[in-house]
Amino acid sequence: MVEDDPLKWETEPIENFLDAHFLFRGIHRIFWMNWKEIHKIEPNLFSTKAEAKGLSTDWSKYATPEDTLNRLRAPTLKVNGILELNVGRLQFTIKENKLPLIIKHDPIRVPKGKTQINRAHTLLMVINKPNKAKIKRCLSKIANWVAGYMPKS
Amino acid sequence: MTSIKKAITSLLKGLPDNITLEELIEYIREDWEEISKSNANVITKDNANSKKTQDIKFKHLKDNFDKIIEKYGKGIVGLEDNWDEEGSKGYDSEIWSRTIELLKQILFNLWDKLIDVPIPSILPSPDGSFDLNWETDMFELLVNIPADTHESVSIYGERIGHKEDEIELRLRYELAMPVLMQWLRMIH
Repeated sequence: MVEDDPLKWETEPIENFLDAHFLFRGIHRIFWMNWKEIHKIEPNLFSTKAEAKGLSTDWSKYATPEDTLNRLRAPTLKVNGILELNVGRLQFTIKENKLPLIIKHDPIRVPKGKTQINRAHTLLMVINKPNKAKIKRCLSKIANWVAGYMPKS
Repeated sequence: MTSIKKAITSLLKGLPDNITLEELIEYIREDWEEISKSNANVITKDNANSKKTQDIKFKHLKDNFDKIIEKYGKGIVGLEDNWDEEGSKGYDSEIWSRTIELLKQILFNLWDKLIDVPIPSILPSPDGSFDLNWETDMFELLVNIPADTHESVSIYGERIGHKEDEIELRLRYELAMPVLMQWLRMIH
């Protein structure tokens, strides 16, 4: 089967991201351990390491929250929680707030260092010099912990 | 007796939860005599009392500022690059100090003018920067202080229900304080 060969995984177009789909992202405890309230998502989660191309997420078409957790270096809810962004709400927020963001499927076909192959890998990319604060605030409003994957602080 | 109870409740309203017993006793003692003499004076004294309450609250916040914000840096400030063994950036104490200095300048100035702006959440971002995040009934404001001192501070704020007062800026660190103070004064 074509699907079994990672080198033949297609990069799928934005049209394949349906409103009902989700993007999952693991969040290390350093970022939430000093929050006032764990249920209330703060904006500090939504920026990338300086060298990163975009915010790394896993697309629910090819991954479950469990897969996302297991891909992390410490796959336990004592260290990491799994966050979800609904694709429909995300697309609406991008449009409504004119955010310079695009969703880009970016399957990892070849293992690189500690990074394993990952067909679900999707980037939330910034397409010009942004106001980071506005993007972070908007994303924090639509993000939730995945049920059953909220960190155990 | 009910009026006295009401008067005390009115006086204590707005005081910080963690005010010390000594501060509370001193505060009550100063006003007790006057309250006892004439309950009728309570209503007309409300404004003065309110100002006094604010004074005490802000003095308390200033005196305890370092202690209050310390919890936000605990376990974070001083983490070195690659602290998660996945290449994440560390949290430099210099960037933390810049963040706190900016916050202190803004809040102390506003409190001196009896403008009631609370201490925000102070949170680390994956890129080594820090966020100051306010979410109150009146306004929401996010200020990002970058890890690279040559980069701009990002600001996004909204006054609830007043879209015309939205603020969205990127500007150098030195300009952030006056701009933020101006905006916060304007919306209060």
